Amino acid sequence: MNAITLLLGLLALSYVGSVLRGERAIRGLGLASGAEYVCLGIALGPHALGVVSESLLESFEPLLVVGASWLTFIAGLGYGRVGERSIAPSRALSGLLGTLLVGAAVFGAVYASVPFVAPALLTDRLLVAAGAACVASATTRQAVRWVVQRHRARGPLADTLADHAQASALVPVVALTCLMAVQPAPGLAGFPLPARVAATFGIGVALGLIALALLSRGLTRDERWGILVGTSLLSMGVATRLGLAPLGATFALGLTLGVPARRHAEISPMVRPTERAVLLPLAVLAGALLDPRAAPAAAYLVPIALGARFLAELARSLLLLASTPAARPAGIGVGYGLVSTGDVTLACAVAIALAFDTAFARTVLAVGVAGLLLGEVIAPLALRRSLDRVGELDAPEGPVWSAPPEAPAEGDIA
Amino acid sequence: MSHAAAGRPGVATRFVQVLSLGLLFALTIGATRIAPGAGASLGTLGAIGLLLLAGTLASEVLEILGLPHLSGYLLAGIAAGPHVLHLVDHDAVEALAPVNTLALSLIALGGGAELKVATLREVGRSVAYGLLLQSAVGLVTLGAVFTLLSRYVPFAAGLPWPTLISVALLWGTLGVSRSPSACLGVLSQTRAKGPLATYSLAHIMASDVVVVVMMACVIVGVRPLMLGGGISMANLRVLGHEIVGSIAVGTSLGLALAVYLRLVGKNLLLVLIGLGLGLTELMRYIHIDPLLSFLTAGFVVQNLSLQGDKLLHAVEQTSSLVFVVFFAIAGAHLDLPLLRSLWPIALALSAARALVTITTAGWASRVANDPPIIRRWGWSSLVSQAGLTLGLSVVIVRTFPEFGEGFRSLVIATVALNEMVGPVLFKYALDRTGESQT
Repeated sequence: MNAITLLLGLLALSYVGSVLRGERAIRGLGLASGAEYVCLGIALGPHALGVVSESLLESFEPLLVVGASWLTFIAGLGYGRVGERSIAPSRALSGLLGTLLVGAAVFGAVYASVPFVAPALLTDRLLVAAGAACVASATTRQAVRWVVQRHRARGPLADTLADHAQASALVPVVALTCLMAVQPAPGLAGFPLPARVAATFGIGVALGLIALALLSRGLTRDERWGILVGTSLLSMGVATRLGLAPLGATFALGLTLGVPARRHAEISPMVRPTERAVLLPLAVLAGALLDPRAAPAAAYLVPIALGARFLAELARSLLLLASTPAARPAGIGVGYGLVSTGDVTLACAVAIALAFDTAFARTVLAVGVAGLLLGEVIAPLALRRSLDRVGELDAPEGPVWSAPPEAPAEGDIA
Repeated sequence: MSHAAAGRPGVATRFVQVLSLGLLFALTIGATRIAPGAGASLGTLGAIGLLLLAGTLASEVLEILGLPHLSGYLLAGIAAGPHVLHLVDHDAVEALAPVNTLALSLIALGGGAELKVATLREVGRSVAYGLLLQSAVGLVTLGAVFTLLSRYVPFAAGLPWPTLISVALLWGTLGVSRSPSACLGVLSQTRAKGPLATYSLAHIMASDVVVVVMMACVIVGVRPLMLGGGISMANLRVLGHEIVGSIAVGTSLGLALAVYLRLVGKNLLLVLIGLGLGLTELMRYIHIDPLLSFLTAGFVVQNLSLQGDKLLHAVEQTSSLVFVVFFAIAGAHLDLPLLRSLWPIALALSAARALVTITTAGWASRVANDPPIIRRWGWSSLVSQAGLTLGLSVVIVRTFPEFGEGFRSLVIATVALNEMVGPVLFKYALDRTGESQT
């Protein structure tokens, strides 16, 4: 397959993704995280059918970076909000702490087991543990939304889980930013790690402020797009130039742009429809990037990382049940409703695989993809069961989701 | 940026724009200087972002001086490019070639869709005389000027007469090429409506087709002069195949697009990007001229269906960002050292071209009995040259490698001048005639 054919294939996938973005389509078609497209990528990739070769994948690396960074930009833009509703700080904090707990468990398990199961990765022990924690700790907000929309769920537990999922996106992005700041461009090596992490987010914040200043007066839709695309690409380019995480910079950019509610309300309907259009091609390419031969330790580290996550989710369930009385009837399995990972995790896994291109990075990608697939199987079932137990399924009337309806007229991709 | 939503910007807005532009360059210069070991430029991604933002901001700031947005895009590209701040290097400029491909396809598609049969009827006589005189007189006169000045042209000095005449004819043909992108860019910014806007659009789009055909004919004609042998009918057959094939493919594409717009009409951004990038490659592969095909497709959608406005709207939306990057890349691509070394001869040739264009346009207007506005300002849109001219010069390099590179350098130098001056003149004319809506 040549580059143009692949590009057209990816555009076709984007087309499918944009068609599937609608609320009705999400209820009826496809999986929440786009896991089926990851499987498609694995099948088409160089290590299965070989339709997409390694050299072709290499030539598409910039597109992967753009796609992954754009997803974190959207995540940053919507961070702290579920639809138009702001998440209460206490809920955001508990969501973050829960995610950190899961991340710490995964980090600890992988770090401790590397000497025994993957001695070849001993020199990268810290990196592989941090990478695994990065891609096996967050919860995709789409999974909760998917179940909620499909089953018309409505109530305090549904809201709590949605808030936790939304808040969790910060953890993998910060972890990725720290990971990539470990090996910056030569000119930045003299700065301490916290300064490099701050520089990553600083790029996004600085460009976000410039964008806010430019957006502050009435502009046409095309002009707003110009500013959004320009600042996003520039933050990716500057971060990449400095050897820092472009995803961290775009997340900070989105976060900065989303702070004023008015700007958020203006920009969000524009960019939200692009999310799935970007996710599907990214998922296919991420699947194709998976290389079992380059990550022999994955056979051991994937079950260890995911096992640690599942155990940690039990602990998280206990904390959730203790802090949310309305959730108690759901039982201890409620935490498994949060094991599904999605766009942000996939983006981080791809970014690590591309930035480091070593056995540890490929192992992290394998952990990320395996977590995505397993989460797709378990999380929707666990969520449905928990919401059913607390009587929040099939709400008789009223809005089932506090987010505005998808696919506004402006949202169509041109 | 237009000011449709907010009216004319005040001092505070301009201050924010200037400050933002300064911060933007400061940030990117800082990023490239802080880690010099990794190369001096921003890479492809950063380059697109910088060119897009800096181009947009520079166009806003230069609006104070009454300059068209294109000048802002070009200047931002020059400033960021490899010869000034080196934030965008040659590799990044080369890597951004797909943007040019996409932009040219959108220009052609949009240009075709702008050509309504009713409009063509309205200005058909003027355009026909204009094209005939501009092409014939321009070809001969500009060729003659080139021959006269050839002793000052580095690659042409000492060429044998047959070769020199051939090169002069090629130069003359390039001289009558215009810039559809500059015309559309200025019209899009000014939202101009009126006889000058209509005439300019129709003339330039039609001249696009004429120049492509002329160039193919001249190449077929001069090849025996330079390489010996006679005119091969096989070459003419190839030319016929290319033109007829391009029109046929364009018609089919136009009909397919019309059906899609009628039945689906969504996600046009993705469809246009797919067509612009994918189909262009396919057309090149089967030796079909993408420009002519897209031009025909746009024309078919506009005139054989009711979907013309929808297509135009989609092209405008898609191209608004692509154009900024396209012209900024053109600015970054400007070879300033080359321009510095060739500027006297480039200036002389550009001045001669402008003079011939103005004189011939006036003559054609008198013959066609055009309204006074066209008689006075009809030439103003014809000075610009950009992507089409450079694209044709690439064809010459490929066909005549023995002098092609030197020829292309001179083309780049003259296009640089015409590219910077042309849009300014056209916008000035639209402002003076009151056709500009902004």
